[in-house]
Amino acid sequence: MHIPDGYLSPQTYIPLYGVTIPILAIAARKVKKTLRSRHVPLLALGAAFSFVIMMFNFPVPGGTSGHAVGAVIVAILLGPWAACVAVSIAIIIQAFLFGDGGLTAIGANCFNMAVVMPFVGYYSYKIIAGNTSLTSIRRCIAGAVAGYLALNVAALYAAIQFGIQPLLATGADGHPLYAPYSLAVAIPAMTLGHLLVFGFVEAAVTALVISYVQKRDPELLLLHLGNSEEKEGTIGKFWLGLAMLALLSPLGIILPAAFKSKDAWGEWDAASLERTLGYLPSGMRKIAGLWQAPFQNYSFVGGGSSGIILKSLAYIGSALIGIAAIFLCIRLWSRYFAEKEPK
Amino acid sequence: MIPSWLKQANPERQPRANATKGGSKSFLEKTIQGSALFLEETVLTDSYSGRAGLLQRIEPRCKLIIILTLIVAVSLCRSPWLVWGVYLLTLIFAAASLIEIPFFLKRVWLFVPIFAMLIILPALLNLVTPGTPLWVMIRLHAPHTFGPYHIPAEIAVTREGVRSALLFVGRVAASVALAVLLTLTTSWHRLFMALRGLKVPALFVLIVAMAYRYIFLLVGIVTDMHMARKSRTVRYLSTGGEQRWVAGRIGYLFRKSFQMSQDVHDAMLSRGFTGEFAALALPKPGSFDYVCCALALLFCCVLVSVDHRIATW
Repeated sequence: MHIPDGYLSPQTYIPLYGVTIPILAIAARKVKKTLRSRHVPLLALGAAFSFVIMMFNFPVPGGTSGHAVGAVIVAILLGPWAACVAVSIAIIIQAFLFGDGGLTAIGANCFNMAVVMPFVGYYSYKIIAGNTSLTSIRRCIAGAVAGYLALNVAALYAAIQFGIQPLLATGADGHPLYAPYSLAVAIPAMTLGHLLVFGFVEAAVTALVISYVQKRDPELLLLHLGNSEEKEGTIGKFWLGLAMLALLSPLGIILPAAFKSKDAWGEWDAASLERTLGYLPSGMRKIAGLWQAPFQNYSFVGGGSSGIILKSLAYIGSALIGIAAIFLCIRLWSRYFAEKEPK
Repeated sequence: MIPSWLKQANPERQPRANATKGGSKSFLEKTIQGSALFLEETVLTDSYSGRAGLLQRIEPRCKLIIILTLIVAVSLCRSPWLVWGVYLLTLIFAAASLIEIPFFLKRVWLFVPIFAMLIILPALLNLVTPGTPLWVMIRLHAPHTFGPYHIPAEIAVTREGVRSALLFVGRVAASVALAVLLTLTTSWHRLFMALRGLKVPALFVLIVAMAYRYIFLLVGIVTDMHMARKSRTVRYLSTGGEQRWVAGRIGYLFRKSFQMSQDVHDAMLSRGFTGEFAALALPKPGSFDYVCCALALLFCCVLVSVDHRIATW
């Protein structure tokens, strides 16, 4: 799962650094706030533990053995934010000191294994385990499902990162410049192995470690509550979700390009409607020129001839400007009404 | 006095942990060997960083900037020749840094670029990279299309496929070689110091450095656990039983790490730790370091602009 240097284009690894660094900063701040000075040794030991889990050979039927990533069990035990920092540190040490995973791909690797995996794992575990007793078998099942699901979602993200390379960068004669396989090849190639084998290894490791902890020291399963702010943070989560959605907005141009489809259904402008229908309804002809959006097609540089990376940045920029505009309107609106309220 | 029954060879009672299970090495052996290799590699790396070579002389902060800029420049290149040129340059730098070339080649090529070579093989064909055919391998009666997959009537190696593969493997090899040069010529504490010099928050670097130290302690514990298990293994348990054992060791290691983190915290508090961390000042880079940095940045600019010309030409 560790992506080496040379597989991803700068158009991919730079935005992934841009997404991962703020999430890590938020995670570090949250952990520091709840654990105070205790966070330094806990995160250091947590990172060392995350690093060492990957060295265990886990026997699988057929006499061979496999490795687990371990991010889900770290998230279940330490909480998702602490796991985010701990696994990232393990990935950084692996990249800088042991050449495992590329230096340019640290952002991508941290995003897949230290952000997506702990969060998907932790929340699916929480949903399935519910409020069962610490020694309930449901917690083991929840761990198994969380391990399987989180590893596969992380693998899917890695596959998408590989698969969009031929769309983002090709040479003058059309040959791919980075990972050459399209989404149609990269997704099955990457996900099949994880769906059929590695997912089960991660599931078994997660479930069996939970079962061991239940027998020896069940209180450890409550540790994550002390490391995260479960009660507060809904507003923070809202902003995080909004930021993620803004960053995902370029999918709107990447996916149509990938599947060679045209405009989104029902979002045609006058010209493309005329092309499709063969004529333009007279009512539409009248209103078509009434309003010119400041950023047509979510682009800052006129027309749609610019490259996909510029377009993606323009999409993200448009999303942020849109969010800021809505935020400003609501602030002004609420201020206006707050002033009118009788004291 | 050794009892006579113990002296007799009894194949059924031979410890099997040393031998194989299902034709391959046992998981115990693999983990022990993996830990030993990990420790060996670290000690070996340390021995290179102490030599009086060219890259060892450069201040770690400048070296980190140089290597990172070069890796980014390589990631921007579109010409296979320039990327392979950078790879050849890393060999010269390895020699100038007193790293034996056979060792350097082995360290770089195992396993990332070799793996990249294997996975790029199908991309040589027009199944993945359409283009001018160089060598037709198979002729079918008619082209086939299954959903998003298209199989042309002639399956051939294409010029574009070869170009793309040369560029891909070259870029992976050059990037890995540059990263290996960095790790081999810089000791870990100087590398962490360099990270701090690049404005990575001091507390973060402190945690990374602490984690690095504890990794060795935990690897030691893992080796001991596996060695103890191996030495008392007469026969294997069922796969499920073995899985429970490994998961139990992971769980134990977590308990141990958590306990240790509390002990370390107590020890830190008793030495006056308040949660804030004052870092020591970094040594200043000299004129040699600045010259190296400037040359490397100039080289990267030239590389990218030449590449741009070749690619559009």
